[in-house]
Amino acid sequence: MSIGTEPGIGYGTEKPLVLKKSMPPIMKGIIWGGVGFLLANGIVSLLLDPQPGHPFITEPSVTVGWVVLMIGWVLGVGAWEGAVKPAFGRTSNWVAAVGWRRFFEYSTDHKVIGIQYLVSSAGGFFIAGLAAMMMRLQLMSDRMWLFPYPGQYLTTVGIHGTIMMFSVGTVALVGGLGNYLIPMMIGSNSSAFPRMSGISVWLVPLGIFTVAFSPLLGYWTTGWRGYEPLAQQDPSGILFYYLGVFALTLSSLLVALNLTATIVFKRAPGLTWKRLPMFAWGIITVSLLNIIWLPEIEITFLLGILSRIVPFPFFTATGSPLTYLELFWLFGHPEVYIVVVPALALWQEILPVMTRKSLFAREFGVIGLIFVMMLSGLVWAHHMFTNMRNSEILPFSFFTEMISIPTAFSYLVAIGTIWRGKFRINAPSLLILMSMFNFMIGGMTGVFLADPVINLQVHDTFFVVGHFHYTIIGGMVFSWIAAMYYWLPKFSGRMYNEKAGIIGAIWIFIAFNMTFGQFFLLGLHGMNRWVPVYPSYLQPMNFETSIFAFLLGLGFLFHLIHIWWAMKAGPKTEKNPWKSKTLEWMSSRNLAQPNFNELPEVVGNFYAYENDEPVAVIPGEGGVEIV
Amino acid sequence: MSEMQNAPTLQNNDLPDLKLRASRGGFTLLVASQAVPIIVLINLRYVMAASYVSSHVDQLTGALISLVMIASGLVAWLALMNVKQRNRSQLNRYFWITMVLGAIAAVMALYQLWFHGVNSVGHYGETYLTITGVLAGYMVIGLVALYSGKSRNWRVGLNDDNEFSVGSTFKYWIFIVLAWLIMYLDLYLF
Amino acid sequence: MPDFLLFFILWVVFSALGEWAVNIWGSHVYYFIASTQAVDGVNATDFILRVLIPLFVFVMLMLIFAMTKFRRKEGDTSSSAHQFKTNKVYITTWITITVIVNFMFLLHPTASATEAMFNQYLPQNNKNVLIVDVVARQWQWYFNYPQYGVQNTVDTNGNAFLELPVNRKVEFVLRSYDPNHTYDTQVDVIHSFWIPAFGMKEDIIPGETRTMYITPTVMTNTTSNPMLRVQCAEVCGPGHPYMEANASVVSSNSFNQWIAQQKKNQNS
Ligand code: HEM
Ligand SMILES: [Cu+2]
Ligand SMILES: [Cu+2]
Repeated sequence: MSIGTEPGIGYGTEKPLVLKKSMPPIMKGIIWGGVGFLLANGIVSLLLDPQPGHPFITEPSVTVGWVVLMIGWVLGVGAWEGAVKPAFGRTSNWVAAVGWRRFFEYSTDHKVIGIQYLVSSAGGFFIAGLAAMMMRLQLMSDRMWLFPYPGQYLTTVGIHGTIMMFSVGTVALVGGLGNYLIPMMIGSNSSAFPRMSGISVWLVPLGIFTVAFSPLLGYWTTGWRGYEPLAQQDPSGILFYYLGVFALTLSSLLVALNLTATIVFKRAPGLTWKRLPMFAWGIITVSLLNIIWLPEIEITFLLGILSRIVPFPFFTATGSPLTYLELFWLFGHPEVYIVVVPALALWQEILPVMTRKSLFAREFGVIGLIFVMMLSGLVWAHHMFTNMRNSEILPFSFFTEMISIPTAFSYLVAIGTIWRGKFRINAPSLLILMSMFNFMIGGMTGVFLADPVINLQVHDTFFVVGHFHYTIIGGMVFSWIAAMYYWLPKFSGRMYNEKAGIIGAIWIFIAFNMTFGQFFLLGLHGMNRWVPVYPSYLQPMNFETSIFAFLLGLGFLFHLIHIWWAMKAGPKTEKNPWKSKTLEWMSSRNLAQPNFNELPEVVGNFYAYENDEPVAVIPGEGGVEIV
Repeated sequence: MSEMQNAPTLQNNDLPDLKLRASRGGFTLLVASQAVPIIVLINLRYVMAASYVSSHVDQLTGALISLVMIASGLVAWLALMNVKQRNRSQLNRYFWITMVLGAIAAVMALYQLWFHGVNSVGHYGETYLTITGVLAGYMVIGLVALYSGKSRNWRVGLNDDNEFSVGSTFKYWIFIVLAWLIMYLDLYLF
Repeated sequence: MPDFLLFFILWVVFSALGEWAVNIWGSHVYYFIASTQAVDGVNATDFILRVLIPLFVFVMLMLIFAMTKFRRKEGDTSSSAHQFKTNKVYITTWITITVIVNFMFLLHPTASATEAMFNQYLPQNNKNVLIVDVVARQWQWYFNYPQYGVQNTVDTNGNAFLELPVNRKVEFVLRSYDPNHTYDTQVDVIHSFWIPAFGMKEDIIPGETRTMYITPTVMTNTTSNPMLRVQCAEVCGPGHPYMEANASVVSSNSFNQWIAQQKKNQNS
């Protein structure tokens, strides 16, 4: 019996191509979206809500126009044929493309979707990284020189932070690696809702472009928080912040629904909760966070948009100016754990393989992830020590300090696994150690920040900027790159160059620490955030920090090129070069085939290395296959 | 956790009953996430305006909308009870009645937005308009969902594969009815 | 030597080295401080650093051990001979230590220093305070001294200027509005009042009045030490980077003279 070939989602090559598409789906998406925008924008600005002087683009019209654009884009790229028509009981003429074309249209194959997410995320990383380079270039001098106007610098900060958080931090490990790996890791041929997943990925490029092109409507100055009441008097570019982030968070919300249902309901026979892979635990905990908090921030953005375009005085001096920030951080703190929890899970995924030693204290790893998830909703106001009531300070300080206990469980597990193992040094394992180092510094500086009297000094300075880059780049991005090397043979059947990988790892490790380590010193020395100009005594250190920042940017570029090269032209390698025991290594990476011709049955522990007994058996293939 | 471990071993993760469980679980999560904005808005109402109710608010229309919504919710519930029978024309009727009642309620909600008597720069007024607008948005989405359910029932008919998802469009509508009622109590009465 | 003995010795040695370094540099982490409140911050930092050093060294050593002691030999593909999935002593110790350290931090310095800060607000501790009204607007500071009837103090160039007497407690009363457009409630945004050398900042919220207490302890000024400057720390629009004002801390005699001069300017 062949499983998983639902009609319409089939694996292209098996069917003869009967219908040719009239035009490439991406073109169609652009046309549908563009025409939809013009129509909706025109109707609102000319008929429903004409403004004095009749400008064609007004704030209400562009908002409505953008919503229609989003729908038109997604439908055009394939959702109309592939998902909407069947949902209305019509027959779908959708024919999935083959070859490289399948990456440029709606698809229901979780491997294709995972790669689409990964590529979009990498694109966002480099757009936002370019913004970071421009910021560092400006900061080499204490006077305006690169940007003629401070609002442009502040918009750059906002674009950088927004795209990094919402299209990289929340997306790369979850939408990208999660979509690709989770069905394989739990022994399934597809995710639970492949059509929804196929649609959601197309919101990512749209969101990135919307935020990146926000200056078309004017420079906005709020940074990635889009915060009221300042947003209300910013130029209209802030609308594209709200709308772009809406698209990105909507995408992550759909991923969360899909992957949660996949993990809960599509596990292979024998794959009990006790045996669930660590990465799946990471994904399910962040997905629950996403399901709760992404709708929360979306409705908050709606309030922000309404405050502008109606306008409503929600957050002005006569309203409640701090309510926006409360609502933002209520989501914002879980958001930072959404970024880092999958990375912590990756440590626990990769270390046992590389030490060839059983995962230590697995249940504490799981408990740690779950408690981090639960506590993360209770600490938001530690971003607001400088403006909250005195009576509220201590409780938030308390929860913030307590969250370090479950977070430290990841170290407990990792260290117990390393101890007396046979540690194999290569690019992924080294990057994991580096990630542990960086995140340790990020976490320890967090202890200082949790202390109110220290916080009142270093909040809003480069100390905080250093702290969160240590957790996000140091913790998450390093783990992401480690994962890319680790699963590269899975993605491509090829191997990277070990020397290049290790040199690249050391390169970014040094550049990263030299850059962001100095952020702490700058902050302590009185360098505040969101400033393109600053007192001249800070200039020498800023100059030198920028040099390291450029080296870091080049280092990331080096990894990108190396990984790209290895996927295309690296030496061919065996199916499971690390001799890992998890299920994804048993599955087929071929896009024209299902993951498993026959579903495996899990009979053991994926992370046990005391013997070579099989962890899973595939009934069809001549008895037992040993992983 | 231990309870789930003792659940029947997952023989084959593509079997219909497992698919059904996945759909049900996913739908529950979807509704849970859709309820979050409602909770935020309830909070907002008390943050901005405590329990104040403006005397300019159109109580009569508000009450009428609630009655129509209750009626549509009851029809949807009846329909849900009868989905299993897979009676195409009967179900089609239920769809139509729910949708017509729902559309009437949505139009009335839009009327409330357009011809409101409340002051939009007051804190009650802004909250009132925001919440009414959000719920009108939910209603429109709910109507589109119902229409998709109706079309599938009419064109394809119910089968093991789509019975749950067609039925769940009624469930989603019932969720919207409940959301409206909670917001009605919150905005017009307390 | 057994792994753990070597580890233990190295851990003790490096922790001791770390503590020694904190001893030398720990009290300078803020670069420059000029108020009693900043001293509390430095002490808290110093204390936390001391406690964290051994924990930090523990993890770092482990990472180094992974790459040296536990490194796999070339060509060895076998599994480690030491397979264990749990260790009660290690886990219990770990959890006990992290819990104890966290509760200790909560009591000290968190609660203790925060209490000290709250005490600053008690009326009985504010008998002889100097009141300075601070008004923030986009993108400017205004300083008023209501006890002396002096408004909008300026330096010789006419820029807003904050002068404080040394060793006298100051109550900053913080408000955000535009004194020139008081009728417009929509223009106010959040600012943050920060003087880096004083080790403390407080946000200024439209429609609210906040206070912050500082006792300056060092006589200096912005020109000779730019860490003593008034700086807006919360982004408030394109002018945010320029929302600074110069300040100086002087003897109480000089302060009185300065006030008299400001009064004279105002009346002329
Ligand atoms: C290539 C290396 C990077 C460099 C050199 C860099 C540099 C910077 C700088 C200079 C700021 C401005 C700080 C300020 O004035 O407030 C900033 C802000 C920020 N960065 Fe990065 N960054 C890098 C990568 C990342 C990554 C990978 C992420 C997250 C995935 C990230 C997230 C953020 C966020 C959220 C902000 C705050 C923006 C705001 O204030 O609204 N950055 N970064
Ligand atoms: Cu300001
Ligand atoms: Cu500012």
